[in-house]
Amino acid sequence: MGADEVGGQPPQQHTIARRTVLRGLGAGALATGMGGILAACGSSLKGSGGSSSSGTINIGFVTPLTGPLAGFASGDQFVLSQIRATSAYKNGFKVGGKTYKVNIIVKDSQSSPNTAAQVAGQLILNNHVDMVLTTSTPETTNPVAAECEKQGTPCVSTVVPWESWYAGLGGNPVKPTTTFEYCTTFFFGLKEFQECFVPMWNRVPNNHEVACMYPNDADGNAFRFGFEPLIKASGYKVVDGGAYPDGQTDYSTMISLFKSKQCEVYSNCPLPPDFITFWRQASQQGFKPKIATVAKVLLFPADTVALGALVNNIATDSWWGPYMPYSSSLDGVTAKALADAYQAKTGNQWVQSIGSSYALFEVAKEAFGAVSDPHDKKEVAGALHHVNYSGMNGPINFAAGPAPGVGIVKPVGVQWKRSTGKYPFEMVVVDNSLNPGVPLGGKLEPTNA
Amino acid sequence: MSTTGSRAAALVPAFTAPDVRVTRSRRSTVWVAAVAVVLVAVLAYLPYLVYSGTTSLLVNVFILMIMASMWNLLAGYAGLVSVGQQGFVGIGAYAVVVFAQHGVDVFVALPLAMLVSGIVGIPVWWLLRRLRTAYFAIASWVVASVLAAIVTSISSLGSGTGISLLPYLNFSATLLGAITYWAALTVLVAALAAGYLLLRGRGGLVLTAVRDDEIAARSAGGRVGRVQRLVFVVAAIGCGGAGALLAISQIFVQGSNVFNVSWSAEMIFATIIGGIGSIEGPIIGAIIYYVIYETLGNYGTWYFIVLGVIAMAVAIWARRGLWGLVADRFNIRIFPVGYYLWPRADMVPAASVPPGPVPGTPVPPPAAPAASPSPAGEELGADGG
Repeated sequence: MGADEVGGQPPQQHTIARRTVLRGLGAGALATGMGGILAACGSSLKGSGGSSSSGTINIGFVTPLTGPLAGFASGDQFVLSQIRATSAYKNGFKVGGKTYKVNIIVKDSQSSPNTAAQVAGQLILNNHVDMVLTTSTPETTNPVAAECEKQGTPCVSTVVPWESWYAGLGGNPVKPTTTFEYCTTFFFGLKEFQECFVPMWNRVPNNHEVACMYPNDADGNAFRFGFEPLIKASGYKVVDGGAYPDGQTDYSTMISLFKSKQCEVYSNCPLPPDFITFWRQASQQGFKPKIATVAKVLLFPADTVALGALVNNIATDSWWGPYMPYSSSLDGVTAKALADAYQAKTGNQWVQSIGSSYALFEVAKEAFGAVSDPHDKKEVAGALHHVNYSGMNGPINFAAGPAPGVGIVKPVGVQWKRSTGKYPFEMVVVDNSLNPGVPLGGKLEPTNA
Repeated sequence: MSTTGSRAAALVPAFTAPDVRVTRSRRSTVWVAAVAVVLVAVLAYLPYLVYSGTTSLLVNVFILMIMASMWNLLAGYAGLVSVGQQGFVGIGAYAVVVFAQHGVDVFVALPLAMLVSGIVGIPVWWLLRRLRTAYFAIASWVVASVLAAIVTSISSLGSGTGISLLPYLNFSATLLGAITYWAALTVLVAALAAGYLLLRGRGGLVLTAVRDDEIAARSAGGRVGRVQRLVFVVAAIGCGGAGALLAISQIFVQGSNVFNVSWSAEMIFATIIGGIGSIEGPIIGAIIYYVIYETLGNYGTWYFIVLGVIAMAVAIWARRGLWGLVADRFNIRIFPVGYYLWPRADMVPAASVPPGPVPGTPVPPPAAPAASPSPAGEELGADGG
């Protein structure tokens, strides 16, 4: 509104600043537009300015140290201290006849995909890392991998079903023909879940009706579209509870559906807090499946505390533990010794993500060991796709996986059982169908008798 | 509220006094504007001067500035405390995906996505228009959640898995980074210009009145509903632009991220810290937010504790944010959206009454009052507070 309308008095000298500011905005827009034109011959752009000749190999590590996914990363600080103490990381990597110092830069994703993408960008553009390692759920690994693929930086992911990772980058896990030049992952996928869970279902007599609780997120959709067909192929019937949003607090409808179909097998892949809510409500409302095999939750001892006695004999997958007959490719320390060292140092019960995070750094060393120039990102990425070694998380072969750049580790079936030791519950290996080299630690028992 | 009363009381003698000239700027404003122009020009040239690490960080800062400016227009002026702006962030991000899937270049898709977001804003406003305060906040959040639920149920958009823009980009990383940066700068300049012109234009005085007291503004004959609708749609367009930039800069679009309520939290934080009810405030706030993030982001939980403590401290002791403190102390306005009344005699403002959410606190006239005994130099209107 002009001053004239307020005071009935035309302004004598009209708005110097408005014109100036408008002119300024115009100039800004012009400058911006000019920039766009200049981009056509954008060779003078500064770019990221990577230091390609330095004597240091920089490795970035993105992990959810804080936030709702922090349980996954609870062993990572310990792993980093162990890794930094190994001779390879302490004294440097020998690459092409030259020894390079190794520098690990850790970034917290704060359990947010947005922060994960931002810190990955910082690692690549500001820290000029030669490789990015990332772990723990698609919410962390997928934005990081996308950023790495965009910026052309080698990346290794883990603790993400390979289908979720592959789909997140824009590939089709059903027809995995796309190769992502810079990104690789090692973990397992839906086929391994099938080979791990179905033998357990078969050993507990039930009516073959499977209650499926899969949310509408990366993992949930991977299970819905990838795991449900496998359940059917195994001779079981699927009762899908619907694609609920993460963070839902009332599961009554789903539970009554499962009850009405008399489901005796339970499968899921929710966020950890959602499972705690669900399982409490299921217990109150009388949904008591004979065998529950959960994915993505109860992977860590901290999750069991909230459920207390309700956690007894829930089965899940384990890709690492002190029972694994594996040892470090860096210094030969065994899985058992690593888990014991963790418990001695932190006072906390071991977590299985220790093994996968440890293996990330082994894979990095394998890849750098196979190139002539560690700063040649194309060469390093190429080497990553051909890493084939055995270490803390067992044998991993990136060249022989179900999709390009995917290495498979073999999990075993475990149940949470009351422990006589220091901690109330512990993971006990009850089914080794998929990985017979792992010794059994106890008997498979029905979740609810 | 006493605001309108005291303001009106200040108005009456000013406008009945005969020897008064009204302008909307001072000489210092011109200089500040000139500096702003140079700044924008330097920023536009930045991809040639600094490495892309800096410009990619600035893209994130610009995105937050855009969002915070939009939230400031809503809450700081139009009296609409929205906690649902992430709905438009998500719509903008996913609109880019849809256009890209249909063969549109992502940078052409950016303005189109803003348009889509603005169009979505119209029916959303129709749903929310009768609600205010806490009811408006909650309802806007609900609408955002509904938008998220709808978008993440579409399988061609990757459902909740998210979707990558990688297959649709044909730029080198360096060029992509530079163009993304220019795009973000352009949207920011446009967002600030839109906010500035909105406040300088016809609706500005209504908005300022609404900011101080909506009921008083209505009873004074302001066409409040129309202006609020305009601001709501502009904010939808701006937040859509921020979402589209987010999609382009991060390549990976996931519903739980772009529709996350934390975007609203960040907008609110930046605006409150910087100074609500001023165009400059959200800019300052976004810079502070990123300075804190860059220095403390690696300290885990402590980072969030520090953010919370700062937000509380500002809310309690500096109600007009940090820009409010600076603007009062040095009496500067980068975006002059108020009015200056000058005594005709000597053309020197004798007194300044910067309005604000803590109104009725008269600021003592600046130095050299002896020259003009008549208290005629006043700054009124949408500026400052």
